[in-house]
Amino acid sequence: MTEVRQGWSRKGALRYVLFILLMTTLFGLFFGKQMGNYPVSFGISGTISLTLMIIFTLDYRFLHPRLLHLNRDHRLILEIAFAVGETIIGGLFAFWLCGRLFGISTNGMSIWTSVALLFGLVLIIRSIRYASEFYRDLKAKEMLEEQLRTLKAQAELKALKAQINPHFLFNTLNSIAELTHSDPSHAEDTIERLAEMFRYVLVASEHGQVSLADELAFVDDYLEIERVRFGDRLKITRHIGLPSLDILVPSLILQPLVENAIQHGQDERGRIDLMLRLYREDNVILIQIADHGPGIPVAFNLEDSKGVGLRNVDARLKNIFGEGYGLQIEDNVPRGTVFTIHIPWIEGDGSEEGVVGVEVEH
Amino acid sequence: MNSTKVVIVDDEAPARERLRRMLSKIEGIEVIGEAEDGLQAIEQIERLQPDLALLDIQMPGLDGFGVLDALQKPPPIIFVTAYDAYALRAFEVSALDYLLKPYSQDRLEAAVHRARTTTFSKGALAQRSGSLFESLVEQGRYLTRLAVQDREKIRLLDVSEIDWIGIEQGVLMAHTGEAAYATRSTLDNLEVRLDPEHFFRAHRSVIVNLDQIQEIIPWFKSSYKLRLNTGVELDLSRARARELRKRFPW
Repeated sequence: MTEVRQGWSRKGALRYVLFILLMTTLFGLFFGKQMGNYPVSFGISGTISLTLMIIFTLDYRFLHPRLLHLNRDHRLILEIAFAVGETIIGGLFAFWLCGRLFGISTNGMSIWTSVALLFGLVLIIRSIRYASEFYRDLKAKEMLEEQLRTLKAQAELKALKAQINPHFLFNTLNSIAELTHSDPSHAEDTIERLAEMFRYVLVASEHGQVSLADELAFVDDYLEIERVRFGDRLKITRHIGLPSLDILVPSLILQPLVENAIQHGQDERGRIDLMLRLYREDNVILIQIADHGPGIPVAFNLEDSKGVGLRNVDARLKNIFGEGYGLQIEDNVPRGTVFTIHIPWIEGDGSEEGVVGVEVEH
Repeated sequence: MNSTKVVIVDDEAPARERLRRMLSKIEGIEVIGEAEDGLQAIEQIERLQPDLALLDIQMPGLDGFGVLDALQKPPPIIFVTAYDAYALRAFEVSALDYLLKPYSQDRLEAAVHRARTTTFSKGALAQRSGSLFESLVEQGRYLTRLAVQDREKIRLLDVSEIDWIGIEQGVLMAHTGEAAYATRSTLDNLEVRLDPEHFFRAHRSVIVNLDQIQEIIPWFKSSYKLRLNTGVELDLSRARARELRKRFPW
């Protein structure tokens, strides 16, 4: 939308001065020819121009901003109506004033020609202003649309990149290359898991929501592949404190957190001690991933973190469930980081009673 | 021809096994050591003095670049990486050799062959690693950990732990609170590789952690003293004071 003018810009002031000069000159010459008295004619023209100027300025400052919310067609009609009214009233008032000031007898004929002339001129000026405003709005709208398109494309590209981490892929392929020699059946197993993972990413990114059970299975595939690379250095403890895993959650929210924990949660010797915990607190489901690594860097900030994956998870959760939910990051005790996903518990998701507490460790 | 002695460095066991197996097919290559993180890599390379090191880049603790930086006399090195856009550009600049996982036997053999036939003068290698580090820094990849000597062991300091670094009796010492450790890097090198947001050359022989400065005390002839949180006072030369003023106008 057109911005409401605040105060006087230098360009605006210049335009007003030019307008007054132009009007004064034109009318001064016109009346001067009719009356044969140029000084008086310029005096009259100046008065008319100033009067109209004041009226138009008042319009632009007080009336025009109040019309901005109307749609373009209604606004056009109203503004033309105002312009006509203002020109007639302003013109007549100016002539009357001239009569008082310069004592000229106003013969009816020249007043009405002048008003018609004025009217035409004002309409032209108004149209130019209106057209330029229209053009500016159109430009702004185009730019905004362009920006939105770029943002959307960037988001899609980032999501894709985050899902298929090239570092993970190439390291896994390298491991498989070795396993084909040392442990062919393990190699086969790993290829199958990798295929499962990629299939899941393709399918899950099409569906908005998946079951928590599917998300966990995806994370398990991922962790089993990482275990090939990290061996005994990777330790995972799972606490599943939910009665059912049929709850629907946004897709691909868990794996980015686990991947982040593996990347940044290693201790100095490269050991990774992960805990995955699911539980319910009142009407909130909490999914926690904790590591014992070096902890959150001092300068870390989720909003401008380089980890697009984490920011995406948080943004998507907030988008779907509202501001009260999302991803929370805290220090772990005695060291490390805890990531907690908060999503609402919706009644009827599985049975209320008989919470199955499963603890798995390997 | 004497066999070429090689040390393999990678944090993933399958990756080390693969390298070892593939290297065993190349005549005249002898794998004399393996390391699974940056610290071990430094220890092994210094102790075994190999003719060639195959060095993974992403490792816990200290990465491949940190290892190269900490070595006093680095052997010819072939870097190995799965994917690292930063590193690839740095390699292009420095013309240091690298392998992309998963690499083929042919590609590995070509890299090893090049390393064996090219006689690296120490100066040429230093120059190449210099341009490698410069390129990394240009891309905003600053040193995060510094390898220092802690009695017989090598210790990794988070650079944020370091209060200041200075030359004392010809030895470069990194100070953290009460302790001080010798490091083999040079002040000029560190001045480039440490993030200028946090580290500042206060004097010809001192780099200071800006976050640790508590007071700036006027001294003689427009020079200053910097008092750190630990109470230590360091000289700030007149020329450097002008630079520091651009950061913190006073």
